[in-house]
Amino acid sequence: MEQNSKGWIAAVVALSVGLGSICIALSIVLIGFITKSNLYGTQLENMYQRSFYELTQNVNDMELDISKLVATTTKSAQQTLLANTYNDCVKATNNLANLPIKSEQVSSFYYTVNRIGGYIYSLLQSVNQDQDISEEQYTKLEEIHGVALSLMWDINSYASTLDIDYEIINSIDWNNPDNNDFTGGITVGDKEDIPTLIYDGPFSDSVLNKEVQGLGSDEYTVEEASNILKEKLSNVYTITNLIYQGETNGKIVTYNYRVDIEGYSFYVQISKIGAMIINISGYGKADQKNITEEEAKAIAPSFASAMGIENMQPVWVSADENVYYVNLAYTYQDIIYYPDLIKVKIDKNTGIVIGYEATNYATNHVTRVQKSPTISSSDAEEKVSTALTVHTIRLTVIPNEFVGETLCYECIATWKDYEYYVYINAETGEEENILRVVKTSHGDLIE
Amino acid sequence: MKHKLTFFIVALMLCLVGGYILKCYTLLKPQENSIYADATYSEVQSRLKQWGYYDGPITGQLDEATIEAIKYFQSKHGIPQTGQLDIATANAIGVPTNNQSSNDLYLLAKCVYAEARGESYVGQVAVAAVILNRVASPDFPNTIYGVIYQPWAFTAVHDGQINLEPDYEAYQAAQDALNGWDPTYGALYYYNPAVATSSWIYSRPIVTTIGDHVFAI
Repeated sequence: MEQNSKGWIAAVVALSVGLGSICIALSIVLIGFITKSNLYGTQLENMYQRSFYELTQNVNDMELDISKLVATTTKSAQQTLLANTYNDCVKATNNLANLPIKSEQVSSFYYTVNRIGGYIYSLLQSVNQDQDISEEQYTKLEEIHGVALSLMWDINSYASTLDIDYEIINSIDWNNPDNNDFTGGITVGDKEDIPTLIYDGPFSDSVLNKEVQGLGSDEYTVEEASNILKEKLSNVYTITNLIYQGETNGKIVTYNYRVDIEGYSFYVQISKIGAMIINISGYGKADQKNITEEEAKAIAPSFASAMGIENMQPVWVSADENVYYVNLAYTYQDIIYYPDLIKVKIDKNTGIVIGYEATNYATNHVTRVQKSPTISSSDAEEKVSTALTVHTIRLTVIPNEFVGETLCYECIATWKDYEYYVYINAETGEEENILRVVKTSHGDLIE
Repeated sequence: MKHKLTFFIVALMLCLVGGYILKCYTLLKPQENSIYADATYSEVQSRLKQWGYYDGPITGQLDEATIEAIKYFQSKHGIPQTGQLDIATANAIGVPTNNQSSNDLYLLAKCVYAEARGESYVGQVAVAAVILNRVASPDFPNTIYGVIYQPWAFTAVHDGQINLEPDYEAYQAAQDALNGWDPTYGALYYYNPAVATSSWIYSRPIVTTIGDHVFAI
């Protein structure tokens, strides 16, 4: 009897010790979670507060700098203020991106600030080239100042309504952000409310609505386009399956197909206007590397020719473990036209083209009036920094940063072990651009 | 004796349960940085050569001469002389590692993998293209990281799947998009109509459908 009771006591004590250890463990876990959770919450709140504070400051600075710009006449002051205003715009959008507000609720703010920043950037470029700000541009700056003032009032008056202990983090409905209380004072405005800004620069209409020039005007039916597609692809592939998959109604309208060949399945798009093959998307994972870079450079223009595009020359090759990317540029009378670019992706194992991208060619290729350089190649070489050793010079047409094209001498040069591409304007001798080859584990880049 | 044994067995089991709970908690905690450096050896050789640590050819291979050069560099910079391109060494040399979110390709590949790993290859390229189209649009932030990390913009960023390691297919899709492939020709949005609940997204003009995703502008 006594032994039985001792046994029960032992079992109860054991159970208590065990349950106690579970409770202690759970408490440690719970306290750990709560402490960490509070810490994370505080840090997140601090980040939100900082972003909102900086956004307010950026918009205030933007208003201030534009108001000074309107009142400035000297170029050095204009350059400083234009650069500051552009930075204010970039910082404002970066800080807004950190705040917990849904994209569509602030897209008008992004649009307004990005367009103002783009206009300011284009003005900065022209002032850097020693051009004066015109009367019309001053008037436009006054209009832009009105917009900046309005943004500043909205945000500052919203900030003044927030209690000192207002926590943005507590205003968030994580599962339904449409219900969030915090708006940052950014009202959903109308894009038409901002002044019409005509310029060539970031986010300008000329960049966003660039006309497709290289497809002609003939419209093809699905049946006609399918026949052309089959005919061209049969030049290079043995097709086992071809299925129409509908249209894409983007900036270029295309008919879309799934095309199977032995070992690969591709997604192929042919334009409705002009019936040009614009895109072949395929994936390659080679287990052997049988194709050399030189072979890839020969395969790419021959493939473009089979797609109906002639006079294409390899201008750049990059590679990762399994594929080569060969850039082809249109070449006419020894001038390379970089705007008319086609990219070809080749499987390193089989040499089969598994990707083809001709959007740039379709957008830009037109019959051009041939320009002649006014400076010689040796003049151009003299314009290149003496720190560089120039190895090759050739005439090229390069796309300007935003709109238009420029005839340049392309000088391929080295400094130490770095390789550079320097572009000297063939008419003015100005240095238009300088790029450096950057070697990465995913192929060589030019930056 | 029998009861003492019962006592120990019950106590041991319960302690084990408690210990297991603690172990689970530990496993739930984020692990220390275990990401390996994925920098290109060509760039490493190039930099070490420029600084006088290496005098061989630029082969892009981690051969004996490169290992010795890395060890020499490590010895001069107080880094353990492993001869390997670990994170500390890669950072000191200044070459990118795959834990740096500043690497646009890596970040884009992570987002593609998280958002579209069940989709066809072209479906993955299209998702990457949408991100790049947003960067170029005035209606969104102006950088790849700004677009990807915009709150509620991408479900897989919101729920943390963005931190999964991308596979090679996602890398190649991201690389294609960076090289200009855009099968949507300008789409700014995509959604899966089977799960999308926002009424706003349905108001956007549709460009095309690829797999489960509807692409819109």
